[in-house]
Amino acid sequence: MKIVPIFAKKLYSFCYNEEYESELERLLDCWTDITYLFNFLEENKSDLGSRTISEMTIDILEDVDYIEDRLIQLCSDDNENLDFFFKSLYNQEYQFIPLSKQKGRKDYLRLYAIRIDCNCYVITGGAIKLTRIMEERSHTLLELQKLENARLYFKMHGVFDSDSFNEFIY
Amino acid sequence: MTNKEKFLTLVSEQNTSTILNIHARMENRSWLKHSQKIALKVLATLKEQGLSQKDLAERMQVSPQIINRWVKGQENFTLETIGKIEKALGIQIFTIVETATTSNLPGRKSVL
Repeated sequence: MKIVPIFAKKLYSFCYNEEYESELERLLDCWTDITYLFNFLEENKSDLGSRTISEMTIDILEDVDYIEDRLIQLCSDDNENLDFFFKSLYNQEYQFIPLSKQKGRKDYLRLYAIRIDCNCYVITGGAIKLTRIMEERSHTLLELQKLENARLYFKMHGVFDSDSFNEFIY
Repeated sequence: MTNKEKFLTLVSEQNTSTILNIHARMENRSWLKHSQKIALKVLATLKEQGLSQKDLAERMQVSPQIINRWVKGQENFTLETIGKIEKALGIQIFTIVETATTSNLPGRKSVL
């Protein structure tokens, strides 16, 4: 496991799999692969309601375009900020929390990340979320575990200690 | 050392091409959309007809690896290939939108 830069000083990503250079790369690859989407939606057909696999696939592809456009815009424009895209994973989190678990979303797609600083995030994973609660499906539950593991990893490596906490408060 | 500086000590020096790859997809988006829809139509048809990708490969006399690549939706298909897929599956993938010869005649939509 390693952390790689995606866009200098702003966006980073974990890399868990040697086949891909980053988790973000793996997700975008899956989300633009029709075979992957078709099989995933087929396996989760019971969560699609009245929507067909073809309709959902087309919608997801449009959502990926949106996410790609938005990430490029937010990273490359100095007047923009990734804080506009990522929001707290928990809707009831109203104040800044150290190493906060975050989500960036567009309809069914989610990118999950840990907030390191203002306009600085590390992507831990992502999912096609078809249910209301992450605990309801194994693929979203896994993303929760990845977020928690990332947080523990940073704590273990002293990314957030008492000095940082004071820095955070003041 | 600030929180962010501590974090940066954990970041690999390896450069990634994720942003370049996003830019490449953005540049090729117009034809990729068609490719994705063709792939989706092929996969849906295979499922409807109870066929496997291997069956289609045999019908088209190509390797299963080629079909596997086509149904990912990243292939820049030639018209010849599209025609062969249509024939093998007995489906219509493309219909050209006809230009009205007299004013206000509705055009036909693509079946994609």
